[in-house]
Amino acid sequence: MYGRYDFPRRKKARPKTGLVAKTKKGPFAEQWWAAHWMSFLEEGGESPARAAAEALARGGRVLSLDVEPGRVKAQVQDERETPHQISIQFSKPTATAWRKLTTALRARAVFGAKLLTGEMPSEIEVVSREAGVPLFPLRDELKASCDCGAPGICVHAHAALLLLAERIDRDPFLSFTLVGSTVQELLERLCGKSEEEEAAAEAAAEAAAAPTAPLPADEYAYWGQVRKIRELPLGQVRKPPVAAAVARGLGNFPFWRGKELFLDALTPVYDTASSIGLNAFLGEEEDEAGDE
Amino acid sequence: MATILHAGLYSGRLHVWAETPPPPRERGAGASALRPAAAATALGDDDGPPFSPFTAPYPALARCLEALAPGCKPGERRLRRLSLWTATRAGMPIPSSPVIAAIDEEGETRIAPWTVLALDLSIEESMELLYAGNDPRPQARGVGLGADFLFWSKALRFSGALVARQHFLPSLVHRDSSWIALWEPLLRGDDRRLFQELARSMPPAARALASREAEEAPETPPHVALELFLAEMVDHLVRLAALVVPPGGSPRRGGRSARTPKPKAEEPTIHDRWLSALAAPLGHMDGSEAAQLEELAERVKVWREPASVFETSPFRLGFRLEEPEIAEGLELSDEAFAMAPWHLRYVLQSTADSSLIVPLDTAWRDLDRRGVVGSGSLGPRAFLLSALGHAAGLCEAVAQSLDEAEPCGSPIDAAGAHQFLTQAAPALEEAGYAVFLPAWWTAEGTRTHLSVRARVEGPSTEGGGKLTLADVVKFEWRVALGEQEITLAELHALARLKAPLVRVRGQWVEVNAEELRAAAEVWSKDAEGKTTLRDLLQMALGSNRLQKGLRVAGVDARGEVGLFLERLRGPEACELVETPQGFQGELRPYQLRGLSWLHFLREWGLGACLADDMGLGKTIQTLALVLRAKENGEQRPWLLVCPTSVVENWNHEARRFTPQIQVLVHHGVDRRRGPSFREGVLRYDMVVTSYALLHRDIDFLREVKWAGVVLDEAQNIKNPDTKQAKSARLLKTESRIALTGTPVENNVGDLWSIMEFLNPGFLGTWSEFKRNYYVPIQTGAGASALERLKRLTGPFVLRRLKTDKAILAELPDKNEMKVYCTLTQEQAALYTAVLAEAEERIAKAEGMRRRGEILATLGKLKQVCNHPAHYLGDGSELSTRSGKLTRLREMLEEVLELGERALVFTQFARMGTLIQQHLQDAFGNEVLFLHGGVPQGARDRIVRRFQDEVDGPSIFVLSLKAGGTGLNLTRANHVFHFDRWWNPSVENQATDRAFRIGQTRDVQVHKFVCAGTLEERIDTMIEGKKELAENIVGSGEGWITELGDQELKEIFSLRLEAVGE
Repeated sequence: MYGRYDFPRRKKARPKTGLVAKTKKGPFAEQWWAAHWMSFLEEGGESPARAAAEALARGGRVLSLDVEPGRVKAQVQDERETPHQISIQFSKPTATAWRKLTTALRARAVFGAKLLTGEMPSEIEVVSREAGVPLFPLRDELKASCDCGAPGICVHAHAALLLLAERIDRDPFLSFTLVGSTVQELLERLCGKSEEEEAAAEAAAEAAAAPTAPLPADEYAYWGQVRKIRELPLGQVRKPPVAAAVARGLGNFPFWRGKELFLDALTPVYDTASSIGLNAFLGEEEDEAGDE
Repeated sequence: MATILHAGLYSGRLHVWAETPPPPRERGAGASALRPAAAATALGDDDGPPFSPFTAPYPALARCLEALAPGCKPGERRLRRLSLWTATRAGMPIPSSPVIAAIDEEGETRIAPWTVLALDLSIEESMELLYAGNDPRPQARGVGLGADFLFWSKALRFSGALVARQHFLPSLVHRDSSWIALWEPLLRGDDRRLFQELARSMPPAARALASREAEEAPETPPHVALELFLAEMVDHLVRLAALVVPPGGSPRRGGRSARTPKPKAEEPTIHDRWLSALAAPLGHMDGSEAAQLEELAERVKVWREPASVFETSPFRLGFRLEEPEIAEGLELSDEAFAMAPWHLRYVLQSTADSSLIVPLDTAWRDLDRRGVVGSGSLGPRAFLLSALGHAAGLCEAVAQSLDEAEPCGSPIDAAGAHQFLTQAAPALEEAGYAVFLPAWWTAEGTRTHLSVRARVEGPSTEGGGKLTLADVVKFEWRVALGEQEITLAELHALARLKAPLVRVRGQWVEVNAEELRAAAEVWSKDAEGKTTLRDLLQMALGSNRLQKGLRVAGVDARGEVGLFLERLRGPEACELVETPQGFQGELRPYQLRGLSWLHFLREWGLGACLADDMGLGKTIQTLALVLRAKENGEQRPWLLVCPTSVVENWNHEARRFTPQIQVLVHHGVDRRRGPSFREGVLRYDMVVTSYALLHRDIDFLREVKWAGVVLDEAQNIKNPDTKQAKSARLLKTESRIALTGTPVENNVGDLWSIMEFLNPGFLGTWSEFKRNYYVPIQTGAGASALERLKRLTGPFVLRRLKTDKAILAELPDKNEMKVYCTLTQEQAALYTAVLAEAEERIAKAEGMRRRGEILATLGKLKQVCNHPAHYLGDGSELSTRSGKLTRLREMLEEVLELGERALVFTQFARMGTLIQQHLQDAFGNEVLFLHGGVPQGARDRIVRRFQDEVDGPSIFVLSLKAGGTGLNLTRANHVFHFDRWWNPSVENQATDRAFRIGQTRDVQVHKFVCAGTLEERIDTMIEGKKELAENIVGSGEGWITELGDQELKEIFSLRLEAVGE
């Protein structure tokens, strides 16, 4: 299936530093945001060029991939001695477009809520397009240049973009960086925080870190009172009806790459720990219960 | 010897050390001379801070640990010498309690270092030892616990609570140049508040340990020390769980097991390795690339960010479910309320002041005003949005509302409301949101439920005759909503609504299809029922078992059964019985009510627990019951089991109040056994024995059919696994009574064992009981479980307090009682020896010498009665050797448990010292002692401390001479006369220290008398001629010297059967 872009045998030893696509086969994008983002690459459908690009990406031939606001730089190694230098430029939206997007996102709490909890709101594709922010770029909204001299998106740039799509699959917010603004900057515009507030927060943090507490010389204060300690409240204790709610509330771990789903892996630990904690609270070594 | 255990954190680990009084010969010497000899030799000498004179050497420390936690044996290798920076005055450290040493009040106080011997504990050892702090009465084990120790014990329980609530998160930290995966506690909302309160209450002594090289006192702030401890404990507890159920599957197999040759086994990612490390004992993540670890740590931080924002935010997001307003007069058939809109309102709640609640619409408007919500790195809007965003993942209604720009709430329907109540609300609460639910909603659903009630009509028994618990009763099931029965039409209407929450007759009720089906079934065909009266009784009291697939809301009965259930409600509803004819003396009205209640339960074969306050006369109510049974023709004997120390008291009280009752004291080495006991016992009305013998002689005790079994001081069987508890359950009888002066209802665990004796099976098995009542109640989550338990046991427990208004009116202001104590074998032997020697000498002597001999003998015998160590004067061990001292301690335990205060008078200063010493060791608390040798200034101070100090000592020992007159000690409402002066006016004067103007409570006076000894006989003589007493004995004991040899012999002689084990 490699066709004419297959590599000569003697060069099969691939550079150790190469980036290897996580996916051995199948699509580079599993999530909708990555699939949509890379749709401009799919326009040509299956083609020998596409296959060659995939081979480069999966063969560890993309040596580096650096994402900067608005731009991506990559090095791709093919049969040529020196790696190809690739630069991909994304078109930057105007200030007005950003303002329009901010206003549109503010109109529905769901956008801010999702972005803040590390999720890509699905409606954002339409909203950003309407505002003129090419979060999901069209083919003519990016310009790729490569020292191979081929016009448009050459096979090297294509390979780099495939790996970029894979990254976006794990980190959707990268698509914001590509159009020139990090999601953090966007959220700041969305939620706005004044300098005064920042100063106040800093002061509060400083106050919280109390430096030292000298021991009192008064013997009554020093030794404390047994009765007072015994009466200290510890609050209600019960096993929560929903296991691992605290972790669940934080959502899935960003760009998880474990064998098991993150929250699924944690849930039994939370569940078992609950019983162990209850016994510690009751002051028992272990639960001798077990029905008679 | 008094020992007080302390605990402190040193380099992140718990270290324990103990305080103990310095050896007597070194008392008063300079501090350097006080260095414990053992420590100095074992560890050599050096230049560090001087040894604290109070630090316990290793053997004493190890004994403490052994007593509290037998499994905690760190061994001497882990003994460390550390500096304790402690309050110091006049060149001496100030002990934590005067029990350790007298505290010098003169001079300036400062913090100075003293070397103590501390054991470095592993985390497992720390846990086991700290659990001992849960025991409310550790003194029983001979070790006092310092407030600092109890603090860490409390902190351990708090860690347990955090883990039980699942308030922790996985983490990755860089520490000591290595990466460690660990579990961190998450403090927010209420936990944060509890944490701060704990930290504020930390006794400084809990953070006062330092290295001996340190030149300055440790100044770790309490919240830092507490945070450290919690982090350690939470990580440990969760790791225990992770070891059981490793996240991400079991740890990777090593290279050896090549049996599963997966050629392309996927390399574990950094994430997999993190999960494995979280389940590994130490959590180290070495061997991974530093860059990867840093990136992972950053990701963990990002993931946890919202949690820390919520953790520190001054406000938290909350959800309030608001029920629809339903117009009055809507009938069940109306479908209006099925459709009526509910509303979920969003609010912000202040974490500092939980009563401060702001609706979110206001909050959005005020966002730009500084400091309303502001927190986190992105400001208030981001805080609100992300809080809503996280909540949206837990609650569909919230998710739907996020289409608005500034959501303030969400309308939901009845099904949505039900879903919110049952699923979303608990999840949100767990995730740290505030949730406000309608008052009719409880952890177990709506207060009112579709249920059944049993209706019993008219005559119940099939055969006629007297109704018993075993009789089968016929009844009819009625479908009801709580108290009210509902009609078939209403039931149909309910079914038609198909809503999980409906409003019927003004209350919201949760219904499900299954219950509706079950209810319809009951209506249509299955309404007849029959069961034993015993089961019916359980249903009436609400045992919460399902019947016909529905909860049983109660029993409505008429006729005999109705009357029975009605009377069970308490002594007020019982039919009053009369005082038995032969009863010597008078029963007070409340005692008569108690007797009637005991009688009523006995008639029905139900066990009763009489838990009246000390001094209200549990003994005479019981004796009256026994006498009443005898007068009504009871032939079989009763069995009374009590602690050895009160065996004689029962014997005595029986002779005094119910002389017709033939009492057999089953005690002593020459007691009857086996067949001889079985035959002999039938001649008696009551057998009195001790718990120790109950177990030892159970083989033949269980063969007797008893008229009734009474357990006095029934807390002796509070542990169901002890020999005495098991033996008690083997006894054959239809009538069981437990007597106790301690509030049983306060300790749910004890209650089961006592109830299991009284009414076997009534509370279910121990594990059922534990699941249904004990755990929910202990964890504070079981308000309804406690309520249910009280309802279930209420009819069988009668507890009246001296302070109850009705009782107060019936009690005299001053209530005098004799307390008859049992001599121990050792006391009896000494008594006989003293007597044998004296008799000869008295017979030989004449005149003044004879008088002298008599008085000397009198004194010696009184000393023997007090305590062998008092007579021998050898400073030997005190516990378990004197019947009187044991009884005193038992009674004072009750006094302390009630939070009351007592005076203890003795005429011997030396005995006073022994009493003080013994009580301090037993209770681990300071006991005051005033005797003739105390100088005026100190005397005033002691009195002031007892009378005025808020948390002052509760027990005050006084010598009759030094404290018998003049003082005002009205804070005490118990007066004990440990030994007797035989002069009522002197004793009354002493009693009047407490019983005088300013006394607001009734005063209980307990006069101790050793049964079978001269004390008992002299007491009887004085009582016999009370009117002459003043004249004859006005001068104390002098009159005894005038008695003839024969009379003397009678007075002095020892009645052997009164001697205990």
